[in-house]
Amino acid sequence: MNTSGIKTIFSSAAVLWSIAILSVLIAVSIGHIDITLKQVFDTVLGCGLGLGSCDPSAVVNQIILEIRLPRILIAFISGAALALSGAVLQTITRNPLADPYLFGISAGASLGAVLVLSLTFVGLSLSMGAMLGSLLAVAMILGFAGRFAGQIESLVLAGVAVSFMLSSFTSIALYHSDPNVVASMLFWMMGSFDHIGWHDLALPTVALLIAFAVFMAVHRWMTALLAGDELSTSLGINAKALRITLLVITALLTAVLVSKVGGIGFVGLMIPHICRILIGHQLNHLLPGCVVIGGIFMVWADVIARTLLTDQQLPIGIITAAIGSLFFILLLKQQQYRSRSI
Amino acid sequence: MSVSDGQMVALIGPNGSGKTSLLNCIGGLQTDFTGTVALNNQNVSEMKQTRLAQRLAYLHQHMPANLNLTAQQVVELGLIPHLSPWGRLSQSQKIDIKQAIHRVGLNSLAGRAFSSLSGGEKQRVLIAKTIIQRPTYLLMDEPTNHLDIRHQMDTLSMVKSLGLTTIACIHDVNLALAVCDHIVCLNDGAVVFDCPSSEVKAEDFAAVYDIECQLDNEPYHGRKRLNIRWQS
Repeated sequence: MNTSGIKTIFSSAAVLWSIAILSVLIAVSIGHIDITLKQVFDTVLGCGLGLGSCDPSAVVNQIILEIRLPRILIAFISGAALALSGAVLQTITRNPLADPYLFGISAGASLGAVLVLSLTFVGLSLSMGAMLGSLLAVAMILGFAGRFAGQIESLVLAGVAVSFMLSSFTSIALYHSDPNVVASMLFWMMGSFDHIGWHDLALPTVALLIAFAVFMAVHRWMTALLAGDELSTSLGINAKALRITLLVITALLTAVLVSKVGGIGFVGLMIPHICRILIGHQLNHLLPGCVVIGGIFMVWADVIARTLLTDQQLPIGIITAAIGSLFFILLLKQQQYRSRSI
Repeated sequence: MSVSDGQMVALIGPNGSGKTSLLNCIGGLQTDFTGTVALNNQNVSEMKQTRLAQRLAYLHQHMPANLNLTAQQVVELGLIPHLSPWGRLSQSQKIDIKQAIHRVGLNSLAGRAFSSLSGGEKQRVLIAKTIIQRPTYLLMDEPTNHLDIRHQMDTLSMVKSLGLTTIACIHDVNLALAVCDHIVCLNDGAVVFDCPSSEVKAEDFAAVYDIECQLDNEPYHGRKRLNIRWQS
């Protein structure tokens, strides 16, 4: 099939959402306790949507509704949000290597979480500490970049500086922490969808929907940013204000996610590249595509994390980093092959 | 300096004389300057950016080398000042885009990546973007840079056919004399002379550029032409 054929298929919202829904249902059926796909359908339709009979006390229903479904939905939302943030950051910085973690948001979240775990007297929850840490990172980036915060180079340099600075503080805190705290922190820093309940889904979902609506509203302005700040300004766009606003929104979205599921690298970097190959560069198709494909990717990465080893779960960040590194090596090889054949 | 409606004015002058800075001040890209820029007696710095963009277009010299947009997507950017963020393209706007692409002769290249086009084709895409923007005024920074003679002529005659009040930074003095109605020469940030193309004087060019030169008339339309004595 040629490239335009592939792009036509993946640009179809119906096709993508069908794959997404099917992926979620299949992922719910996979786990240490065998559940058939039919059981998943029956439970989701009966108990979830009220379209059939439902026995809430049945163990299988409880596993599906209370354990697996919220976990897989948060995986989907995390993948969607990280991929969307990555696509927006790569667009507004015109830098294909930009992702939410380049700007120190994850480093800030990790520092906040470590401090909450180490300094128990603070009395904050882990996710609240992580959220405050992420916000601190954003404030520091904007503070360091100062009046040059609208310029790409200043933003990226400030982001890298803040990321390293906060990571070093986290390392100091970990070095002086109790070994139990270190173990749980390491697991959290590599990302985990464990212990996620329905109550954890509300904030990330709302944040994702609001951010997506804003990004779609300004997608034409973002396209103009791709063509340069001068051209954007001459079209009536305040390029610097737009860039800072979108950075803050992606940072807040990532902070909400990181505070719930920890640091999951490579998704925000890799998925926008995959989506450009599958869908193309047009932002009004690329951004929704990143939401769905990012979600699907994370659902299956979580399935691998849960099932790769028989007796334990792997942190999700290990799986995404492994797939991510493989993807970029393949991309590199493909480019080398293309330039050889020209 | 002042520019009359429908005129095409060339901004000339040595490198670093302030041509691009002046253009940026007029176009609202540079705001830290003293003095006033007015469009029909309306102060540009008091106008909303969108309102300014509806009246004044800028044909840029530099675009990002790795721009991943098709020619048509670049043309569509010209509609931004006329659209609200949520606005969708109307049927008539889609027709306008097709007509603009057709007018600059790019039908077969509309779907091609902008970065893969030649210099002349890129300029035509940007002219189509300008047509879509529907301005009254046009600013151009070195519109013929890196173009061969044929494409220089095509680009400038296409721009002239738009009938807009145009100010263009042009390095090539003879090109400016051949195409523009009026010449404004800058040196060290100040206007040295400002006159119709037919009234320029050789001694002014000699003083500004520190060269030996004479003016004569080109044989086709009788417009002034600068002849330079090259140092051996």
